[in-house]
Amino acid sequence: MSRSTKVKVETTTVHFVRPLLGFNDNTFELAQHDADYPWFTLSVADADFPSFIVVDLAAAFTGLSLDIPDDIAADLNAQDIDDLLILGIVNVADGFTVNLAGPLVVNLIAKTIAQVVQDTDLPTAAPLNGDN
Amino acid sequence: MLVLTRSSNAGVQIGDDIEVVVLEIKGDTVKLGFSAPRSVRILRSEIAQQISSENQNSAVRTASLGNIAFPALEATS
Repeated sequence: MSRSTKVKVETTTVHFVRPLLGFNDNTFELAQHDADYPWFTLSVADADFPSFIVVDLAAAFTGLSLDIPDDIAADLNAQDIDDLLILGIVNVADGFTVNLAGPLVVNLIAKTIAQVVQDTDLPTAAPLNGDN
Repeated sequence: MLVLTRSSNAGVQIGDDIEVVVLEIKGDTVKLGFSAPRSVRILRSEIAQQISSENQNSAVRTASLGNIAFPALEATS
């Protein structure tokens, strides 16, 4: 996967169509981080925790192949693949690693989001700008 | 935990709309088939726990976001 054009995202309220594993919160605010593409923040609405730093995987990793099952695409109400933004959750405590095994798929039109666990051997802590 | 003994091709019904069937038993490996509504997430336990743990380890407080220095990023392959 790769992208040559930058995605501009206004701060948007998104709803998890299935809860994020390990959390019960469903409504989050997705915001571009100070226009410093490709970083975004995903923060639970109306609370100080949890928030996540996420990164556009199409910009951060080339040659990455991810599977989005039809049932999850349907749950996201995805009409067009171009409406989808694929984000990786970043672990900043671990030297900026990205969870490629559980990417987030956002439908920017329907304001829906889901974590799509990959049925492959992709790492949960892939280093950015490192070997993948 | 409920424990049931099932043979190959036998199943277990969970609620009204979830069925688990033993498709094959080979050595210490069991192949299972699942029928469930699409809203039911079915994951290998160890993968679900690994992803859940990584999610929790990656969570930060919203107030701390401003203290994080985001590195310049080049796409990796």
